[in-house]
Amino acid sequence: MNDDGRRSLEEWLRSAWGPHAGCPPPEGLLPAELGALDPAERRRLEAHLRDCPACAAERDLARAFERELAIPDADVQHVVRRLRRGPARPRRRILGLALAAAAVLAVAALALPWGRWSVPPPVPAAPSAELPVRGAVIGTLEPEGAIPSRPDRLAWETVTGAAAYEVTLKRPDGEVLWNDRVGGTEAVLPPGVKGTIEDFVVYSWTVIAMNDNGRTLGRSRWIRFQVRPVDDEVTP
Amino acid sequence: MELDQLTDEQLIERARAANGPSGESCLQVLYRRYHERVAAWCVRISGDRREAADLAQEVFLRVHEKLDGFRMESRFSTWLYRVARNVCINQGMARRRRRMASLEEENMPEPRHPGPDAETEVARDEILARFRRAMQTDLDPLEAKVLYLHHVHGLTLAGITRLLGLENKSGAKAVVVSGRRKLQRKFGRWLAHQTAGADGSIP
Repeated sequence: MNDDGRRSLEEWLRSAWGPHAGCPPPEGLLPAELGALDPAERRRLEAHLRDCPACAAERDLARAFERELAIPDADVQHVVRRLRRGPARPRRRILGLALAAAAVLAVAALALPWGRWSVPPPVPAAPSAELPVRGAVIGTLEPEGAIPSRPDRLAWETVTGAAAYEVTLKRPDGEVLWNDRVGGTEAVLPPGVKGTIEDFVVYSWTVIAMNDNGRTLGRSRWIRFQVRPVDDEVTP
Repeated sequence: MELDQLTDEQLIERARAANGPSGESCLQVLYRRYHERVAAWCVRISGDRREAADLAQEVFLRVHEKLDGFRMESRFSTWLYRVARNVCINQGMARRRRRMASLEEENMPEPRHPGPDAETEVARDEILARFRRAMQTDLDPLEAKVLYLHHVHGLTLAGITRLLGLENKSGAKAVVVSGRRKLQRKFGRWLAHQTAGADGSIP
């Protein structure tokens, strides 16, 4: 509503054009979903689409999701690079880290007696909105949100009775970048991990508090941060 | 069987059963299958590579956080689209609205608005019904779509131009201008007439 109490055209459009009872859910307009309809359902939907501009627009949005790229698109490739590794990260460093990690694992495997070899500690599942969180919710965490430079440490508040905290840092593709167990309320990022953190990539991390027996006392939500240098992005 | 040969849903089942690094491998396969599609869609929706990069990352973070809640009642790709749409439409909207307000609303014809008493004089439902009819009868399908995407979903004009593949010189902007003019001419006049009532003035 405007200052003088009048409704703008935009407000009329939003009021009048929301989904109606007869509208399918937007994801029901994906080509793959439409292809699964029987002929009668398909005819009904086509008739609805002719009379409902909102659903017709939603169908365009849904079609675009399944549309293949005809030609390589520079903007899309920019986003893909950001999702994968980011443009500034030399591949050699990735290979170097992988080789170093493999060497450490090989040494560890030789040092362990056969039969006692076990997989690394399980990565905690992300807390789901539908699942109750047991125990305390760990708060006051940092880094969070946009930060000007790579963080040195991850920090959180104390949970009473906690003997250890397990911290997990992930990339946006879900790859676990780092997983560690510490005694205090902060975890210093090893140089090899800190060095892989890239500008403009959104990382998420979480921490679980455990007692002496390894029982979970509480956990944080997934916290996100992104390094956004003050001098802004340089487009490759 | 190689992971690449499994369906999306089989990969999720296996990831849930395996947990740990083995489960992560399954999720990585899913990610490889869909990340380009999500990236392309975010670019089409936002029309801006930097915003698209943030949105695409947010989509996958949400996917990883919410995957436990995916009940296999639909295809994974359908569920993924729902997540992507929610992120791009809901989360990106506020930012785009701010930008639109400063850059794109200039020189748009303003419709005649109903006065503050409009809703007491004419039932709001009747106005809305009339407005919906005006959009269906007075606008051509492209104008209706573009107005919906721009004003209801907050997509930028550049994003809509790209999404719909518009090739005219000014893209979606020309379509928004013509659509708003038509609505102003017909619906605006009707509304002004309806609300002229009490003091005889036309708002």
